[in-house]
Amino acid sequence: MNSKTISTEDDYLGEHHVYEPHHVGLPPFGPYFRELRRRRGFAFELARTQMHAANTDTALGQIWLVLNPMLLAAVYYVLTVVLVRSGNNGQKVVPPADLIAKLSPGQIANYGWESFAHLTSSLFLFFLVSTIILTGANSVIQGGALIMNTPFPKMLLPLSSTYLAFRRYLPTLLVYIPIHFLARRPISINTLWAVPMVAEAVVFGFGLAMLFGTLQVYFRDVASFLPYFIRIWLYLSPVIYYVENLPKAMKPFMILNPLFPIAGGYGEALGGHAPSMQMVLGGAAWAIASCLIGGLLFMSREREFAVRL
Amino acid sequence: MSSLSASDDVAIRIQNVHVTFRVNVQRNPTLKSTLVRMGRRQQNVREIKALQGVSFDVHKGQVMGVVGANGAGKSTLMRTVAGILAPNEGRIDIYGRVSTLLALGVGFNSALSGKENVVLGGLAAGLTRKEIAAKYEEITEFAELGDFMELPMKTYSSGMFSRLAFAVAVHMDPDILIIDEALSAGDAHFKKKAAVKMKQVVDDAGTMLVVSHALGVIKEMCDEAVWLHHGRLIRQGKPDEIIEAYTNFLNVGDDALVLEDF
Ligand SMILES: Nc1ncnc2c1ncn2[C@@H]1O[C@H](COP(=O)(O)OP(=O)(O)O)[C@@H](O)[C@H]1O
Ligand SMILES: [Mg+2]
Repeated sequence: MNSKTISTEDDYLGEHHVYEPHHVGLPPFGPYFRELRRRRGFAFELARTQMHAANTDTALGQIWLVLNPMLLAAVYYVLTVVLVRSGNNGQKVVPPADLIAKLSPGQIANYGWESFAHLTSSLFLFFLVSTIILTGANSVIQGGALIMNTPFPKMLLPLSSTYLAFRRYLPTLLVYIPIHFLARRPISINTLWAVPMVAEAVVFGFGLAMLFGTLQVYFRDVASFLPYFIRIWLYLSPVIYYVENLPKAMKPFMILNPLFPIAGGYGEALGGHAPSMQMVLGGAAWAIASCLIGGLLFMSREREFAVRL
Repeated sequence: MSSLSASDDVAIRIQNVHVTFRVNVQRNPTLKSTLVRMGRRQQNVREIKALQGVSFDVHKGQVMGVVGANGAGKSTLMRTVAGILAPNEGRIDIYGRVSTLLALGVGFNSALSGKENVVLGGLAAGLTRKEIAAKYEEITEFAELGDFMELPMKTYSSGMFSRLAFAVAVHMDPDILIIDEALSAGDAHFKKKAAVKMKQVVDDAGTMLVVSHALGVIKEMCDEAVWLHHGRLIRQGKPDEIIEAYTNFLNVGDDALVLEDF
């Protein structure tokens, strides 16, 4: 494996560069991450420019960002709450036993709203991850002209799309807040667990963005398969159901789904409960593994991007 | 090969550089077609040796011309020196800050405005916002684009496109400027201005590496030239000598044709 070194003997805009192959296939980490840090402004600026181009920086654009997951949440609400209730001959749908133990009487009386709150918040988180992956998969290809003409740490490109997806996620929180209160969900110190769970989701997505960004350079049809996998993944994750809905026999397998601990822990936190350590640490392990695998693959291949584009 | 050892005098040192492309015979590889081919146990990779052991030095303040036929490896050499491509063997030492003006454009995304492209390109190249802001005025003024800077670059004519590319490249205060067949920026008026600006870059003790099919340009601008052929350095020397040897080699009856290919 041959590769390029961006080794700067002094950090000051690199007065001496050496370009030579290095056989492990990875650039030296010190200079690479130093350059990445120094040029991070590029990632933010690219995201800002793209938001501007897509009009997401206008009020209407923001409303649009929120409307899409909201409508989807409404569809799932009809499917999971309204239809199930009418199938029950109009009887109230009762939460699963494990869940009842966690809900307050107000939440149980308001189970429709509670389900809706769970659905919207989980869907928003799921969209955060899937947007990171989908835009990240295309980020390298879209950076084509720049890659062909400027040497820079290419990791800035998936980093930028991750930041972009996060910025698009933020307005959805504003939509969720009133739903949270309508569902009589509590606010407690445990709610703060949502922050590390979102961080895990972002880091996990960033790893996959690098993975699929690299694959997309080699196989131009990867991005067209992705939406199908993501859709299936959505149904396999605790988004349209509660963790407690799962049959006991299936739980051990769920550790194989990275979004199970991440979305599950996020759901717990917003419900006012501390997520189990299994979820917090399981999610962290997935996030770190995804970043390591995606990042190493990306860095070992990024010097070939200019040739493949 | 230049054997001057005083490294404080060297701007670019190219030592035994090899670049080999592994080309997938398919143009747009897809996962589906790769799986199909793997099923048939076909191997569709060819190796192209674009550079095979090229060595030379470029000294500070020197203008080095590069000539050679199509496919000789000139663009590959420029992109390797710029750090965009990786050498498979050998080593390149660069002393100074490099700015490139390559044939493929300057990393512009045509859906974005000229201004956005200048800022993004500068940030990717490692400039600070402050540095970019300081140069932005000069760049727009030099490129003579006025209000067009706020419009998406897909509304630009090709002349406007290359004027902006040139303006960006020369205003980055490079120690080393690499130009690959991109001198034909704009109309006669702009060409004249571009020539003056390039002279200024060189006078500021800048170093330049220039690829051009316009042998007249090489003759006029360069202190020294190299001739590449099939990825090897055939000859290095005074521009006049190199151009003569090269045109003899090309064996075209009328060099006038080559001289005016600008
Ligand atoms: N991205 C690439 N992938 C595969 N082969 C390439 C690529 N770029 C250049 N080549 C090959 O390398 C050789 C040298 O090309 P190039 O450097 O563009 O020559 P020149 O600029 O002198 O015309 C050619 O044979 C060309 O086909
Ligand atoms: Mg060329």
